[in-house]
This record gives sequence, structure tokens and C-alpha cells, in this order.
Amino acid sequence: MKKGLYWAGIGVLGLFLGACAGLETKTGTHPQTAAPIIQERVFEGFVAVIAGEGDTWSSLAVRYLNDPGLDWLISEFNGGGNLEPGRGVIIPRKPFGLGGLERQGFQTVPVLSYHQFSNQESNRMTVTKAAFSEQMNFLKENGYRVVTLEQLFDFLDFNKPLPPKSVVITIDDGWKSAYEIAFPILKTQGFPATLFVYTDLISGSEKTLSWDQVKEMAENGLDIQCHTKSHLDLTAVEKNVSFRDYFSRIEEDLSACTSMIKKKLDRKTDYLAYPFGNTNQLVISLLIKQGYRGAFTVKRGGNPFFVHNFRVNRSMIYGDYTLEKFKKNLAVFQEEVLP
Amino acid sequence: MRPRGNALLYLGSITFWFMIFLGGCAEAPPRRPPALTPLPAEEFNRLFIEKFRNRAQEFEQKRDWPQALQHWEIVRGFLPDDDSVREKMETLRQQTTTLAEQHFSKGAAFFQKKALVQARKEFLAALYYNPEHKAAREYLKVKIPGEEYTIYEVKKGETLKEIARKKYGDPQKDFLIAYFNDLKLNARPVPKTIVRLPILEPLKTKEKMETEEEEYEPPERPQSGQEELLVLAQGHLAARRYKECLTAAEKVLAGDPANKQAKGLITEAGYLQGKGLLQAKKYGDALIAFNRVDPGYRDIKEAILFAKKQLSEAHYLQGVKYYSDQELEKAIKEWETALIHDPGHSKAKRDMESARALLQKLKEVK
Repeated sequence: MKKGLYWAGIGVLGLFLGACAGLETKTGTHPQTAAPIIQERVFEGFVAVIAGEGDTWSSLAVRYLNDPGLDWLISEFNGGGNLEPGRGVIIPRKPFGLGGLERQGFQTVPVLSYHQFSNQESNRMTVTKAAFSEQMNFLKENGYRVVTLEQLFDFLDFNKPLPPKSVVITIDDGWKSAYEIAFPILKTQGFPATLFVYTDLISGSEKTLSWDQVKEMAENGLDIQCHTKSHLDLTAVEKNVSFRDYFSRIEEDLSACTSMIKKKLDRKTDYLAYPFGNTNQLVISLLIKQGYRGAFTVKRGGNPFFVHNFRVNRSMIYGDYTLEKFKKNLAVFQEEVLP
Repeated sequence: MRPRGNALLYLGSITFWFMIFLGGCAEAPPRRPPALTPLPAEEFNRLFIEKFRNRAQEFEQKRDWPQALQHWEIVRGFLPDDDSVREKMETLRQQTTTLAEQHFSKGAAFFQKKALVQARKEFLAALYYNPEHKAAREYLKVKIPGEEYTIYEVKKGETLKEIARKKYGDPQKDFLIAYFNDLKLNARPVPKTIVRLPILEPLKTKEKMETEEEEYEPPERPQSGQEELLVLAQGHLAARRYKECLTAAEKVLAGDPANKQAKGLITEAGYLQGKGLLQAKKYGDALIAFNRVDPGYRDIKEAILFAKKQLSEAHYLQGVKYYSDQELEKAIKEWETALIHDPGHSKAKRDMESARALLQKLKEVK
């Protein structure tokens, strides 16, 4: 009985200790001088903090911005370099550097476009496993940050900044090699990517993806978006086809892709890769009407924030590219001194 | 007794661990507690104030006002009652706002003249000085690339078929107006209703369209729309329609700022247009045209200098005319403008000084 009461008493003490464990005061009293001591100060637009042992830009980003991916933002604001203990750090709580706009020019974001992959042989549209692996390693080792389409469009909409060396990776169509070759490499590198599928191709044949494979990729970080239903050129009309039939065909090609992805993956699609990269103003009007946020051409070049959201550039990476040629598609800043 | 004692023992033990758990849950912060190095408050504040004041001053020296302002904001967080910091920020804020507005106005003027590349640069500068300048963003994102729709106000008694015939030359395209405006096909819209009409471009016609991905080799060169614009621009240039050539080439550049072919066309068209305007003695317009030209192109430097001197002389003569009409203030303004274009115009300088002295005397007499 006494022992029981004893343990119950200990329990109450436990409650007190447990409560204390969760509280680490942000200010306190210096043991010798009795002057207040400070670890951090929170202001309206920023937090001032002294870096402690083991702190990294990333750990500060997690602690104060709830996002390890914003480490670059804190580093950039504080002049970069190593984060030594005792360094005073400002954590900005509102976005700065929107659009990557500087007096000397502006940030551009390359969007890379792949189609097929193979273990050995390459052709113009097929990149070998070794080449893809080399390209992804190059991005990783040279400080490029692979970002998602949502991050890209937040940048294009002037809502959020992107790391200075941001790149987007996209894969078109829905060939099985995307699952067998590219997907494991992307997973190993921890890179997000977008698969633009044309839904007629997702048949699970010898060369093409099945919906189960698409689903598996979607559940493991790949973003699945539309490349239309049938991959017909949205800007071309067959001879003897009326304008009205043409319009019905492109309307159906867009909406059927969206609804198929919704049905198979229960995911909303916001972006389109135009078949053959071709578009016109009517197609863009249609996409806007259907609630898309943006769309991609295959016009080579990076994207400044002021690029048209429905004419975003993408650079095709061909199978015969050397690493040197690949690098030429990674321009992340355009010099253009502002007046 | 023994079993009861054991039960109490278990109960007490469970209570202990439950309380520990509860206690931890009740007060634990959502994130792990920071492992930071505490500092006395005064030292903590000084560390940041010194660092960010220095950085703000460095940015000021580089005339990078937006960055300077951002760093002064940090300093002000620590010193909210410091008048010198507040005044400094106020000055910088006014400076950046004024600069943003100046660039925006210039951008809007260039946009009116369809000089889209120069307009874009000015809007970018406006946004650089004031990232919240919504109008500059609107120009950059929407107006320069061009909108997808045109707007049409419905007239009394008009049907969709009539609007389609009027705007598309084809009454059968009424379904498009209905689709994009959420109207029924046989709707008779109320007069003054605003409807959006999608812009139609010529469609490519094919007997058989590509269905095999392997057949497709996307171009490394500009996409077809831009190619067409470039071809169009070249045609205009050959036909000496410089204004149209500039419009087409600048459209290409607006979407592809590095397009060398478009830049080349703009330089050549701007140069030839400027030369023509010089011959027509339209020196101001000639200067605007020359401003589009690559600074290293042919004799452009001499041509600009010549245009400026001629423009300066024209303002000087206008000043003389005002002077003879006893309109001293207007004359002074003209001579000031003459000196902007040609700071070495000695007659403008001499006459302006005497006119100012005369004006001063007249004011004193009054």
C-alpha cells in the first residue's frame, strides 16, 4: 500500500519533471552577472538567433520556417559560408529576392525534358542510363537544386523565391524506361521530377508504363501531369475536318487526360506539356478555362519569372548529348543590367 | 493483503510513466528545443546591430537601395526608437518609390510605342525598386506577352452568330463565344454585356498528323510561332516597313530575350528608321529609333551625336523665338533642353544665363 502511494507520488513528480522538460526558456538569467541572457529574438519580419553547436542552415530552416528546403534562403540572407556556433543569424520571415531580380539581371530556371532511357544504346530521344546518371550526379555535385513544378510556378507568379541554381526535371509520354531506369536514379539522388503522361500510352505493354507503375512512382515523389490523351498536335487540323470538330477534339484531348489521371490516381492535374511543344492562343484559352496553372513548350532556354505561364520553355536533353552539351542547358542567370 | 499491495504497486508504477508521458506532451514545444549559445541581451543586440548596419551602409555605397533598406529594417528591429535609423529608412523608402515610379512611367511610354524590349527593362527596374509594384508585374506577365482574349461589348439586338461573323468572319464560330463565356448557343446576350473572344491563329493543316513519338524531333531553333514572326519581321525590313519590323522582332525578344536574330533585326530596322527620320528632320524620333540599335553598329555613335546636336539646335532656336516674344521662362526651358542634348552648346548656355539674370532683375523690380 505504502509502496503504491510512493509510486503515485513519484508519478506526480514525473508530471512536474515532464512539464519542465518541454520548456527551454528563450531568455534567462546569466549565472554570474544576473543580466538577462538571450538565445533568440522574434521580430515582426524576422527572427534573430545565435547559432549553436551542431546547427546547420537546414536545421534552422526546419526550426523556424518548418521547411528544410529553405536553408538556402537563410544562408543567402546571411552572406552564406559555414555556419559556425556563435554566429548571429537573421531568419527572414517574409519572402525576399522575388523573381531572382538583381540590378545586373535576373534568375532563369531551366526545365529539362527527357523522353526515353535505355541501358546501353542511345538515339536522339533515348538517353542511356550512364548518361542520365552522370547528368544527375553533375547537378548534385555542383549545387543545383531540383525543384517541383509547384515551386517553379510560385516563382513565376512572383510569390516565392527559388534557390539561385534551381532546375526542373520532366519526363514525357509514359515509357517503361522512365520507371525502370530514370526513377531509381532520381530516387537515389532525392530529386523530384514530373512525368507528363499521354494517357493512351499507359497500357502496360512491353515498352510502356502500366497505371500500377505510374501509381508507384506517384507515391514515391514523382509528380504526374498531363501530356494530353492522344498526343496529337493541338495546333494542327487534318484536311477536311471542320473547325468545330477540331475544337471538340482538342477539348476532349485535354479533359480526358485530366479525368483519367484523376480516376486512376485520384490526383488533380495543373500542368500540361504540349505534344510536340506546339500551342496557340486558342489552346491556351482552353487550358485557362479548364483551370490549368501553366503549360510547357519545347522551346530551348531558361525561364525568367516573367515568362508566359502557358509558354514555359523546356530544353530537350537528347541521347547524343555529351556532359558539356548538357551543361549548356543549365543557365540560371541572364545578365541584363537594369536601367 | 499481498495481492492488493501488488495492485497498488502496479497502479503507482503505471501512474508514474503515464504522468511522465502526459507531462512531456502537455508542455513540449512542437519543434525540438534549440541548442543555442545564449548571450547577455546587450551583447546579443550589439552583435546584430553592428553587423547589419555595416552591411546596410555597404549596400548604400553600392547604390543598391532596396538591399540597403532591407538591412536597415533589421537594424530598426533592434533600435525602434532611433530617429537616425527611422529617417534613413524613410529617405530610402522615398528614393525607391520614386525610382520605381519613374521607371514604370518610362516603361508605359515605351509600351505605348510598342518598344517592348525597352518597356520590359523599365518594368523590371520598377519591380526591382518596388517588388510590390503590381502594375509593373501586370505589364511584364500579361500585357507584354499579350492576352489570349479580346474584349467585346455586345450591341443591341446582336446574337452570338452576328458577333462571330463580325469578329471571326464566320457565324459558325458562335459556339466558341458561347463556350468561353458560359452562354447557351442560342443565347441573345443583353446589350452592353462584355464577352471574351478567344484569339484565333491560323491552324496548321496536315493530311496525317504524327502519332509516333519516334518521328518527332523537336527543333533546337525557335518554335514555329516565333519563326513566323521572324520571317514576318524580315519581310517588313525588306519592304522598308521598319515600324512593323520592330514590332514583330520585339515580340520575339519579349519571349526570348537572347534571340540573336531578333536583336539583329531590331538593330538594322532601328538604324534605317532613324536615318530616314534624320532626313525628315524628325530628330527626336530619330533618337528614339537609334536607342534600339546595338551601340557598336556601323556609325551609330556618330548618328546619335548628330541627332542630338540637331535636336539641341532646334530647341535653341525655339528658345530664341520665345525670347523675342518676351516669354523668358519658356525660352529658358528650351535652352535647358538644348543643353541636355548638347552640353557644349555655348550659345544656349550664354543666352540662358543672360535670360535668367534678366528674369531675376525683373522679379526684383516687381
